[in-house]
Amino acid sequence: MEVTAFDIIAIIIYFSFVAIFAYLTRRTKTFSEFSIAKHTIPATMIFASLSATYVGPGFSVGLTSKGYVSGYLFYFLAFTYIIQTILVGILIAPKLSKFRDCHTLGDVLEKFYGKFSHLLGGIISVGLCIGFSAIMAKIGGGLLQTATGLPLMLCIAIVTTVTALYTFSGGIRASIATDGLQFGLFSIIIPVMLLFAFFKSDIPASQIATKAIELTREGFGGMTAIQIVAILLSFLLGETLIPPYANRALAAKSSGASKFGFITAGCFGAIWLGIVFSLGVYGHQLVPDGTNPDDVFITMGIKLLPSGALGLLLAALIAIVMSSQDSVMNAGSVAIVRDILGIHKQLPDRKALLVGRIGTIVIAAVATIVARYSPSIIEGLLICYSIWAPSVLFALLVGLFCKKTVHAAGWLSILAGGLTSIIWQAILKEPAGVPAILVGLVAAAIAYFVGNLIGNKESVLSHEGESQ
Amino acid sequence: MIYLFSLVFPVLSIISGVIVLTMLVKFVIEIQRDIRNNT
Repeated sequence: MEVTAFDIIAIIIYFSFVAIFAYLTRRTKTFSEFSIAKHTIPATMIFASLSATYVGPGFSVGLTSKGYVSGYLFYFLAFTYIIQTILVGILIAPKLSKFRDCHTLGDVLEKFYGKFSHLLGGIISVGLCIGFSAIMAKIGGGLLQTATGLPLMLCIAIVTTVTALYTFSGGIRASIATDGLQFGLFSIIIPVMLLFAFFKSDIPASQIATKAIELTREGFGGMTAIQIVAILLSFLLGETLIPPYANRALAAKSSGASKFGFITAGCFGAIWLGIVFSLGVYGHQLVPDGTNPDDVFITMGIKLLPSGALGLLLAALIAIVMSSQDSVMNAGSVAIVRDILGIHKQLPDRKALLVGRIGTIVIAAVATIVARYSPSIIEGLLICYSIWAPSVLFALLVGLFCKKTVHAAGWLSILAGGLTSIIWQAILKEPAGVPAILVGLVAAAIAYFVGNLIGNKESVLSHEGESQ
Repeated sequence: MIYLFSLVFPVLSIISGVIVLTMLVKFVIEIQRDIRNNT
C-alpha cells in the first residue's frame, strides 16, 4: 500500500491530539473518579463513548466486507443490536444508574445474589476485558503495521501502550474524552468516503440499488434458518451490557443522561450500519473483481481518498480500535479492584486507585501477549460473545426486574450458563449448528429455577430502593 | 433507500461528529475546571 508523507503527518496529528486530550484529563485523585468519574458524565458524552466503543473493527471493516458479499442482508440481522441498545436505554440503563454506590456490574450482582456471585461476575468481567483487549490489540497492531511497515509485535505494543497510558492516568474520564475525539474523527471521515463513492461512481444509483437487492437475495438464500437465528442472537445478546457499557451507565450524571446516551447510541447504530454496508455495496463498482472482502474497506479508501485523507482514514481505523480498547481496559481494571481484590473488604481509596492503575498495565501486558499467540480474531470474538449473556447477563436482568432474589439462584445460573456455553462452543463445536449462546441461556434459566427451589429462605434479600 | 443510505446517513453521521466534537470541548473545559477546583 502506498502511504505518502501527508498520510504519515495525518496519523502523527491524530496521535498528538490523543496525547493532548490524555494530558488535559490525566489527573484523577480518587478511585471514584477513576472508575465512574464521580457520576459526572453528560448525556452527549455517554452517547459518543458508547458509539465509539461498539464501533470496533468488526462494525466497520468487518461489516463492509459483509456488505460486499451479501448486500444489506446483515443490516437487517444486525438491526437486533440497535433494538437491544435502545431497549437497554429505555429499560435497564436508568435502573443501573440508580445504584450510586456501585462501580461495576459485580457490585450490582452482590446486591442481588451475595459475594460469591459478585466474585464470579468479576472474574468473568476481567477475563472478557482481557479477551476483547487482546483482539483489539491484534487488529490495531495490524493496521499500524499496514501504515508504517514496522514489525507486527512492535505495532501491537505501540497501540496497546498508548491506550494503556492515557487510561492509566485519567481512568474512565480520559477514556470517555478520547472516545469523543475518536468518534468525531471516524464519524466524519468514513461517511465522507461513502459520499466520494456516491459522487464518483459512473453507474446510476438505481443500478447500485438493483445490485444491492440481488446481493441481499443471494446472501439470504445461502443461509440456513439456524444460522440466521445464531447471528440474530449474537447481535442481540453478545455485547449486551458488557462491562464497559455498564460502567458508562453507572458513570452517567443521571438516569436521564444514561437513558438518552443509550437510546441515541442505538439510533446512531442504524445510521452507521447503513453507511458501512453501503460502502460494501459500492465496492462492486470501485474495487477489482476477486478482491478479498476483508480488504474492500481499505482498498476503497486508497482508491477514493486523496493523499493525507487516506492517513486520516488509517488514523480513524486506529481510533476505532483504541476507543474500544481503552474502554475494556478501564472496565477490567476497575473489576480487578472492586470484584476480585476487594471482594471481602473494599480497599482504601488511595490504594484502590493505585491498584486500578496497575491493573490497567497488567491487562495491557496480558492482552499484548495473548494477541501475539491468539490463533484467530473471529474465534476469539465468538467465544467472548457466547460467554457473557448466559453467565452474567441473565442473572443480572432477572435481579434488576425481580423484587426478591435467592443467592444460590444467582451463582448457580452464572456457573451453569457460562460453563455450558464454553463446553458447547469450544469442546463440542456447536452440534447441529445450535448456537452456544442459546444453549447457555437455557442452562442458565434452568439453574436459576433450581437455585430458587433449593435456596435458603434466609438468603432471600429484598433490595427494593436499597440504592436510591 | 440507496439515497437514504448513501447520502442522508453520511450527512447525519457528519453532523453527529461535529456536535460531539463541540460538546467534547465543553466536557474537557469542565474537567479542567474540576481539576483546578480540587487542587
